[in-house]
Amino acid sequence: MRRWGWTLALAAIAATSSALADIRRPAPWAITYTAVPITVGATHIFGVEGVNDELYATGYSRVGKIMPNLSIAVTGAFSTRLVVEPQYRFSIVSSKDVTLTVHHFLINSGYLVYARDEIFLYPFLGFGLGNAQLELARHLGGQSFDEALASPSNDALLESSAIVLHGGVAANLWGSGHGDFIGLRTGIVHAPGDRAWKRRGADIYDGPKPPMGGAYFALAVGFRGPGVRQRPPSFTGRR
Amino acid sequence: MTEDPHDPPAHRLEWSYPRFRPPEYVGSALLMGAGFWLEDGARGDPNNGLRGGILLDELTRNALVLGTPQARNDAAHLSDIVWPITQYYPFIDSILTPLVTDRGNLDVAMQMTLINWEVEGTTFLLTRATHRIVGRTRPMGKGCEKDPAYADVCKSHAGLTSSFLSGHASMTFASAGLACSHHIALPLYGGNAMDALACALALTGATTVGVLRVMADKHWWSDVIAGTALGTATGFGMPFLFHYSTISMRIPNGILGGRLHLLPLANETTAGASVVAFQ
Repeated sequence: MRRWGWTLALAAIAATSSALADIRRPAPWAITYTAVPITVGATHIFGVEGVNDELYATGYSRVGKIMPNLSIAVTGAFSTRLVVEPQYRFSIVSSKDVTLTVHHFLINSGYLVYARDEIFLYPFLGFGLGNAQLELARHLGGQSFDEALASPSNDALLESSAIVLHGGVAANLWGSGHGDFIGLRTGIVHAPGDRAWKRRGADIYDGPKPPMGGAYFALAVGFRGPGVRQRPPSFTGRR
Repeated sequence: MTEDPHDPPAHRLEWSYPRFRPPEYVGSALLMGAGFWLEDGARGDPNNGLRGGILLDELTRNALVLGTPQARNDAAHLSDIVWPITQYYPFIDSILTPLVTDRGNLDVAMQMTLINWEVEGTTFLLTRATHRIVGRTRPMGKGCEKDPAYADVCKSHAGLTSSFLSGHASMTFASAGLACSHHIALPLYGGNAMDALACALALTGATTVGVLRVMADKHWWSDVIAGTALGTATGFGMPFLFHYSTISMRIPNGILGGRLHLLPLANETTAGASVVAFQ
């Protein structure tokens, strides 16, 4: 009788522990934290020298190598420390008659090295689609309708799209306790392989490689996403 | 060890207003992106043949515009010096004052900086959008018609049709409005005359920029008035509308010690808001 009592007691403890563990540990693929980081920074664009040389040779002005950029992402962190993050990045630079615009549509995935409340650190890798647009538009004076029809040749919009790779580090350095956070982000976007410009869908031959990649550094601000029911996971490395 | 309820608060500045909301984050990012695009991606200001002045334009031009190209250039140069000082003052003030004088109060610094971001982004976008749409010729265009050496722009025509509205006035008045809003809502410099002085200096800087733009023949008087109206509306209106006050909400801790109220104002000819102080 006494042995049965011990057995029942142990079974009850085991069941209770298991239930407590289920309560404390979320399911492996539960999204424990979402956030919307917005970054503002500067990108050192790679490969713009080739484009600038061609622009200068044909009488256009050069564009700068440093492009201001803006990005917005939706970050989801799973209880397994995996981070998944769709992101849109927008960079633009212009001179008096040339505008270079670069768009990136990326899917990043990372691993939480540190997470406590709103303070996060995660390296990430990603891939996506890059699109570069080069608009050429010489300054126009007043002209007649016939002149405008006869010489539209100084205006052109060249564009190119390619698969891009993305890698970097995201760190949320400060959280207000109300969901707002401040952080830093740095990374590199690389566009592998050959690619060419197109103009209204037609191929452009013998041109410089469209600049689509670059290294960036940005300030991030953002807010914790809606619908989060659990506290963010804490992985501080300390026991 | 428990916290003594009689301990002084950790920070002298406390953010008791509605916090910067998620839609404001996204909206501010979109406004900033649109501003980037209008600045760099949308090329050229139209020339819609809008020449000459309206209302008091000719009168103020005759009275204020300086006589020599060098004097006009100097006035323009001086406006380009006062403008960034006035424009960036609330940014620096919003960051440094809570951090340096309030034990690293990053929360208040962040909330004020986010409001600055929202207001400046909105003002910049509306200013550039107006330039891209209206295409009014600068007053110096009249001088160029008589004398090709009247100004450098007479030859290049660059920016000659971006007279309406004055971006210098809109951005500086938005910043002055921000500075005043922050100092009314929070005792950044102690809630005394220093806060009022900060607001007065910012408004003086913005007014100086506006007058200098007319003296340099860069803008008509009506361009500066329109820029002033836009900047004042965004610089005062957005912080109070979204954060510092709802309609007739008490504003605590400001320079008027909670006696300041924002009230709607409407009659046959006017629609807007008024700030009222009760004794």
